[in-house]
Amino acid sequence: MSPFSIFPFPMFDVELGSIPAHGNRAHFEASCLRLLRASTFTISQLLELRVWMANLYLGFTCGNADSAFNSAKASGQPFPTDRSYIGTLDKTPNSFTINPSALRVESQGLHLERGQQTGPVSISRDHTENWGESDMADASPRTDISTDAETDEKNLRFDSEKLNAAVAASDSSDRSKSNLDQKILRRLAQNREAARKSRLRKKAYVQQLESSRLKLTQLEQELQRARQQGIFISSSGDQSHSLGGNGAMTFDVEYGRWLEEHNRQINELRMAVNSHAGDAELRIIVDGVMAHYDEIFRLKSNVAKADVFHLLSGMWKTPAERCFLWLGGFRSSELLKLLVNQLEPLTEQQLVGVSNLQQSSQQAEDALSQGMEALQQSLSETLSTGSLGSSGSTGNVANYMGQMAMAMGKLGTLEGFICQADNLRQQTLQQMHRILTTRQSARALLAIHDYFSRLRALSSLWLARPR
Amino acid sequence: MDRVRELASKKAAVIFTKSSCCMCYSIKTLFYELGASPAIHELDQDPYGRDMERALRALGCDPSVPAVFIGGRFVGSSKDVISLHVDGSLKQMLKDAKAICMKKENPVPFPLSSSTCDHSPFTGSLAHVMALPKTAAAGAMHEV
Repeated sequence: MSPFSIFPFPMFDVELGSIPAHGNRAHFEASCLRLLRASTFTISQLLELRVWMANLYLGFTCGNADSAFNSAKASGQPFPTDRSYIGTLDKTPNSFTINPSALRVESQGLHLERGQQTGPVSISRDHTENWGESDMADASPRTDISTDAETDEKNLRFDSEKLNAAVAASDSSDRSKSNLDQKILRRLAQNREAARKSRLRKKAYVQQLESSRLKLTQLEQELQRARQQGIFISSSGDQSHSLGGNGAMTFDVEYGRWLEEHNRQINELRMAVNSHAGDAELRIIVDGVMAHYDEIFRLKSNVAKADVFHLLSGMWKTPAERCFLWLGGFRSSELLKLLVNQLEPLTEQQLVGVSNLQQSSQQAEDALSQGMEALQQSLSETLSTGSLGSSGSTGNVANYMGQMAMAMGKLGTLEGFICQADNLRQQTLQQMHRILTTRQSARALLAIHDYFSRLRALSSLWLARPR
Repeated sequence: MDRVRELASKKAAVIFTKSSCCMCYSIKTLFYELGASPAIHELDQDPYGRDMERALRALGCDPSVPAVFIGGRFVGSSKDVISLHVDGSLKQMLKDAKAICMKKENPVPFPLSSSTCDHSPFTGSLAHVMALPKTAAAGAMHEV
């Protein structure tokens, strides 16, 4: 059967068709060489081609067994035998050894090229020399590839020259051994060189990895320390206990993003106010800020369902803000107190409205606070009854379970309190917005933002203070 | 439902609660702070409690308690009450229903004031919830 039927590059079949399949082997080789030089191959294609051509040679010639091939075969490498033109491999022609440098087809190479697509790596190995490092070179393939590619290109060019020379040689004499040996030795030396280079590269890579690892552990320690001090850190991916999209970590990240956007809007508002912009323009920006406040309350209500204690803890706020924490957020009455002075001049009606608002929010806050106290009292009573009971062990367990169930129910109401506290904050802001004019609202929002950003700055200063 | 309506119309301010509900406690506190003395009905102490709870849910009250009625009309749950309170509507509604007194002079701590308002004796339902030292609920009430 024609070996060309299994030529690996069908697109060249047309050209190959012009090469006579029978007849003069030299003629055939010359034609193949012309084809090679005339066409453009990728490196992996060239490697495949070499293998294919080695097999072709085997098909054409038959001759003496070669020590190299035998040793390779003896190492147990599987050799693909599904191609009939390889069938004559038992008696390996000398031409097979002419071309190891040309075609690099110890059986190992053959096998690997069939089996792997990362051609360059397999090439630098030569099992006739027992380099222990072949495994090492394997371990960091990526760093090997570039230089191996170069080496390979060199080798390939070398190969086609040698192919030529081999053709000429086989034409003139009958494979003089000295020629072969020189070529073999040269190729072996090149392989050694390539292996050495890849060893050095691997060493460099490993060192780089080690230093990166050290740096990583250092950073993690810093982060841990900073987190203990309560700096707000929006991080991701280093803890796995966030539930779905609503866990504590997710909320921290979302809050960070919300704050950034809020700061941006406030800057826009400040510029508008300072540049004495018109009411219409101010209203647009103010409405945007108010809508953005609605957004944080929505986010908080989401996380309240998933992790109410995270909100209550205030760990998502900076330390100084946490100092003023009330039911997971700020106290609206406090906010109004600090605003009243800054909002002058206010009309009589506005003064009354603001003062009423202050009082209402104070009353609501008191009511909610008392409800929370009641909850705490009730919870502690639930957990403390019957702990010294003298009923039997089963009775104790039943009591315990019952207590726990009741306590669980009470804890569930915490979410309701946080939600109502947020509701109070949101309503207070909106009522304030209704009482004031657009310009006054703008100034109020700026004042609120400045107050909190000063608190946050205070937190940073405090954490960075020399001790 | 009928029972709910019936009870709700008996007084100017009526709150349906449960003895274990702390949010109910908050709302009650708020009403006392405003000077009202709402009628408190605890669903878990009422034989028809479960039906009443269902009726309240049907009205759209979620959670079912606390459920507030002023002047016989359903006002809402805690969320609605707080919202109305912040914008001043709650106080106005209570005044309109005569649930709180309009007197300006010498505001005295509830329930010692005598007036034509719809005061009823302190129901003592607070005692059900817990024994907390009660802060002066009415405090100084300034009418506007």
